Amino acid sequence: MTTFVQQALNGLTIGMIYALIALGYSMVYGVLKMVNFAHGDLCVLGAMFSLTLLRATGITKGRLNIIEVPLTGTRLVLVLGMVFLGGMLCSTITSLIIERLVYRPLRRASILTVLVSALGVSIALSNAMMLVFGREMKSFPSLLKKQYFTVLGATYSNLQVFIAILTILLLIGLFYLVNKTTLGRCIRAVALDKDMAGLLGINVNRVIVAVFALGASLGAVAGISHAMYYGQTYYLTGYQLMILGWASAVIGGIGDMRGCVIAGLLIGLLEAVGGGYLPILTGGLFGADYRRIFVFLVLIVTLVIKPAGILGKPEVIVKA
Amino acid sequence: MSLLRVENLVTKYGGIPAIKGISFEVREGEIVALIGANGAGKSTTLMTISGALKPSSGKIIFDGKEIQGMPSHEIANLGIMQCPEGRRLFSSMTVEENLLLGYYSRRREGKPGEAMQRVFKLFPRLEERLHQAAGTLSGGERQMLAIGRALMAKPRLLMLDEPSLGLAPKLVETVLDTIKQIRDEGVTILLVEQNARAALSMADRAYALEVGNITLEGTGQELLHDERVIKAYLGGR
Ligand SMILES: Nc1ncnc2c1ncn2[C@@H]1O[C@H](COP(=O)(O)OP(=O)(O)OP(=O)(O)O)[C@@H](O)[C@H]1O
Ligand SMILES: [Mg+2]
Repeated sequence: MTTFVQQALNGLTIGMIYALIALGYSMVYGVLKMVNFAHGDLCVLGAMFSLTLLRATGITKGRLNIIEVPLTGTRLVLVLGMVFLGGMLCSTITSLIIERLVYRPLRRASILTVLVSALGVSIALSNAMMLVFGREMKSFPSLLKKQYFTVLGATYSNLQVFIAILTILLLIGLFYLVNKTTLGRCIRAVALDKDMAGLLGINVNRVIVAVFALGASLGAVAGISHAMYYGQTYYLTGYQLMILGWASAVIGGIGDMRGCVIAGLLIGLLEAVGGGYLPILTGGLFGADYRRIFVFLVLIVTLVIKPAGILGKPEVIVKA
Repeated sequence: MSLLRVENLVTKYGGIPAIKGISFEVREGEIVALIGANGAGKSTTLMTISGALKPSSGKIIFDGKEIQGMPSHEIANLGIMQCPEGRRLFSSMTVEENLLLGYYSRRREGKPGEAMQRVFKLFPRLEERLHQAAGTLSGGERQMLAIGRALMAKPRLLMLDEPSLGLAPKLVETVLDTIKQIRDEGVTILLVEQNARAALSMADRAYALEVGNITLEGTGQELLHDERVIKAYLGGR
């Protein structure tokens, strides 16, 4: 029982990260009907850049990025603000450059052209990160002074609480924006019918730019949370995040934001709980390394039973 | 004075011209009808004026300003609204959200309440259905919403592409009456119709479009009694 609760808590944490990533895929898919394969790399870029900020400001030191003076009070808030806002800004700017230079000229190109270009952007971006930030696995500080709580016998860290609160706040903000504001209505209108949106006076390109910015910002938060949670970041992590984020988006019903969140959490849970029990169930034959089996099983089953995803409806493109 | 003047307009789809150098004008306060058979180029004309299609040559002058080639959102912001063929409602969004999107070009001028009331006065039904998804409305209600959405922008020129399509005869009459009412409130109207008899009987002036060329023009009454029009568009007598 304790093992289960423990894995479930861990799974929820990682699931929230997947949900944030999935939303970026989903929203871009909603307005452009394309898979932005570079999104996973943009998430990692956020983490890489904020790590650079931490080093440049002397907050972390040495190869292991150790924090010598514990962060507390105002200083902690400022550092967290710098890390997250800096990462979001860097991912957003990069994302907008990609949109302008690659995706916009391809707006009317065939799906295959766009797909291959997006893969190309992903490879270019991860390699650029290797060149700029280095090819080694980097340790990433958790920034918070570790504290643990006991929940039903399992431990839950203050970092997990932090990630949960941050994600929930972002989700509330995002759902409010998409459902209740003028920009949100424009995003949904552009997703449904770009030409009609233009006829009503909506600057479609500006709305698409806003969507890329939103997606990249959420992605950077996810990438930084991921790095803090695992204590490391690596220029190839984007590939993993892409697969899992995209799988969550598809399972949830691409374009359906609620579906993305549910599927992200589901995949995080499955991965952690499944990974925890796999060695026990198989008598040690399969280790936790095989935990992704569950993700892809669910993906396959979803695609067979309900191709539009858990909450997706074939005709609805962006819905919150 | 002419609010809209189109001069030698040519629009092509992949090299093939759909309109081949048409010219016409719409004066302030008029209802002008554009009639023509399927494929004549009526929708293409409206889409080109709206900026959703780029003309390969010719001029579109709105309120003294050349607008051909401008992006569609800028043209909308000048006060040209189109109610396109097939309504093109945002079907998963509510009636209210569709109307608010119609108000987008006026969003800086304050709250949409007054524009909304004006639309409800014309179409009380929409007020009752405010929170219903547009996709679940009846055909007639959808047409009301499509027109209502365009009116939310308080357009100077309203272009309607086959507003009577798919409506029961009684409803056609209601919609056409409403169009007259809208004109009486000061909105200039360019009306594209398959239902040539109805369009001509309410239009101040009209043009007949035939495979990309304007072949006839005159007042609504003139065309309504023109032998060629009767033969081609009114199904003889
Ligand atoms: N997207 C397109 N690509 C290629 N050709 C097109 C396209 N849209 C329209 N056409 C062609 O352009 C011509 C004019 O079409 P348009 O839709 O303007 O006609 P219309 O007068 O509105 O007809 P209808 O009364 O049937 O609506 C037709 O021959 C049509 O096949
Ligand atoms: Mg047409």
